[in-house]
Amino acid sequence: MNMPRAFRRMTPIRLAWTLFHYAALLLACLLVISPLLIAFFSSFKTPIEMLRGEKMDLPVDWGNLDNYIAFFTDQKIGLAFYNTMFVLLFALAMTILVGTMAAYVIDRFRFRGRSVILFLYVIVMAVPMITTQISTYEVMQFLGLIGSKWALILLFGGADVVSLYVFIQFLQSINREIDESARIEGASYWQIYWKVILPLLVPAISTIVILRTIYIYNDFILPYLYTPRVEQSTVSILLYRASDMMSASSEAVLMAGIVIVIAPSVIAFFLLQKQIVSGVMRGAVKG
Amino acid sequence: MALASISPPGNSGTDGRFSSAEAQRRIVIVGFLVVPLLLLTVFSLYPFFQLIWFSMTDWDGMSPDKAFVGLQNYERIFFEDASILKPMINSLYYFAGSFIQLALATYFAVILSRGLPGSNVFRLILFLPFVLNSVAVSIIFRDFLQLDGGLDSLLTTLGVGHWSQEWVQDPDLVKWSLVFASVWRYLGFQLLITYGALQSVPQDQYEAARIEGASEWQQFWHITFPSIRMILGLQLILATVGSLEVFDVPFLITGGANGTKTFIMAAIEEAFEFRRVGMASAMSIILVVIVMVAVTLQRLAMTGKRS
Repeated sequence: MNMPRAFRRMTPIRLAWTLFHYAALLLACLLVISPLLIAFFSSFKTPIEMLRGEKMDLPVDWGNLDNYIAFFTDQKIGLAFYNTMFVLLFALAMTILVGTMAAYVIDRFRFRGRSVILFLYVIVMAVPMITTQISTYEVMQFLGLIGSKWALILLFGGADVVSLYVFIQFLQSINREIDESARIEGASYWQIYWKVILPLLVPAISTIVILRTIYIYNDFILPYLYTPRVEQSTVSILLYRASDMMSASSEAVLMAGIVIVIAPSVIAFFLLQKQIVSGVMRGAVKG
Repeated sequence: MALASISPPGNSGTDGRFSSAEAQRRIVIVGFLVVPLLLLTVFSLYPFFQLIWFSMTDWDGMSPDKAFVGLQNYERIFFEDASILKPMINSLYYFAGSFIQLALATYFAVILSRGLPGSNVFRLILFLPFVLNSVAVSIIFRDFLQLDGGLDSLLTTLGVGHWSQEWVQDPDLVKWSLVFASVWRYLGFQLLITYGALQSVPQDQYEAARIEGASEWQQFWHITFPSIRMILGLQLILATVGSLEVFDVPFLITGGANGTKTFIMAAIEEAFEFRRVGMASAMSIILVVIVMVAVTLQRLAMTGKRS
């Protein structure tokens, strides 16, 4: 660390600027953290504390789990988590398989129709997904998938163009000679894809898994449109319905529910911070 | 569809081994593309073209027949019923907000990339909201912004309780409150992207500039800015598109009350609540066209500047 020396070398003006930067950072972090902390505090508060006390006050009794127990008993929370995991796992598997297969063929083969296919993907990328839901809904209705988790899996897993671009971009950085030498050794194209390309794509796959998990776990609009009932839907709808049903007096119970839903994200975020940060940096720019 | 046009290339060999390789090649191309293209067609392309068709009908979303009405829906939107386009104005707030967000994100990314002690922690905290559930953070914000809610409490704690406002009740302020909620959510994400771009700026340039006595602002303007201009332009495109499709934040925090409805919210409501699918589709198409024009203009401006 050469920081102390850096501080010593500073002119008074530069030191003042550094202090200003720190103040700005601290203020921003305070604004980011405080809504979350207040929700966390509220989830341990009794109705009386919620009514009388300041929001920023710490809860009197950190062991008060009444709100959590109430949320667990009133809401189908296990089912919502099961549904979310179900959708997440199938959608991720689909994104990876569909995306890497298409990327492999588009990047490694030259065939007639290739530029047409690329053009179609560009069109789809330019049209914001939310705008076409009005007619995608009719397609889902025709397929009889309204109210089914499979509607979500198909849309989350099948209609994602950004993943394809990340895979193609990554494939371009893998030397073609690797394919060719495998080919000379007698490997079939399928074996090259499965045994050579897919393992080499693991960094790109983990980027996509991170980005898509964040997206799918947190998305609201698709579950809201296609699986509006909690029984078939994700944790987003669980919270949405709960906040609709609950009166202001049970606000603390709702906050307990919120803590339950975001806790896995927060824990995963701090455990996997390095992977998440680099995944987002790699993936987002290519979108 | 496009699949039908896949055919062998000109150089297919004549001996047995070669043509079996050629067959294998064709099987792989078709086999690996069938499912992706089917999904693309059924869930993206077909709905898009269907949307154009819907926008020229008076369909209610249920009855078996859709009457073709030509451009009537568009005429109503542009010339007859001014209230339909009004929510579009709200997008301007988010658009303004996205500039503020980009400026803040760039500022924080620049100072964090200098390796201030603790910069990792700051970066993580600012990024945290991006990984959280949309409904959860919206409910948190609904409570945070209400009368005597968390924000007022925070201001009191900081000793500036008299700054308290009617954050969501005041019809002028509520739009900025929602912009704040949106900036809160996405600032860290943008910061991270800019931060990533800054890593590729060679450090010795700063060293040289410092020796020559360049101020921080001069360093930013002459070294940092030129090297992240592309990324900033890209983020501006994303921000424009993003500000036109804002749905979650107003829908979940205010439900669109108090004049906070956005155009896409109005379109979704038109389709799924009032069952006026024809009109809703026309609104969506207008949005798509605006997005495409915006993206094209910004792309052109960016490539123009580069040369």
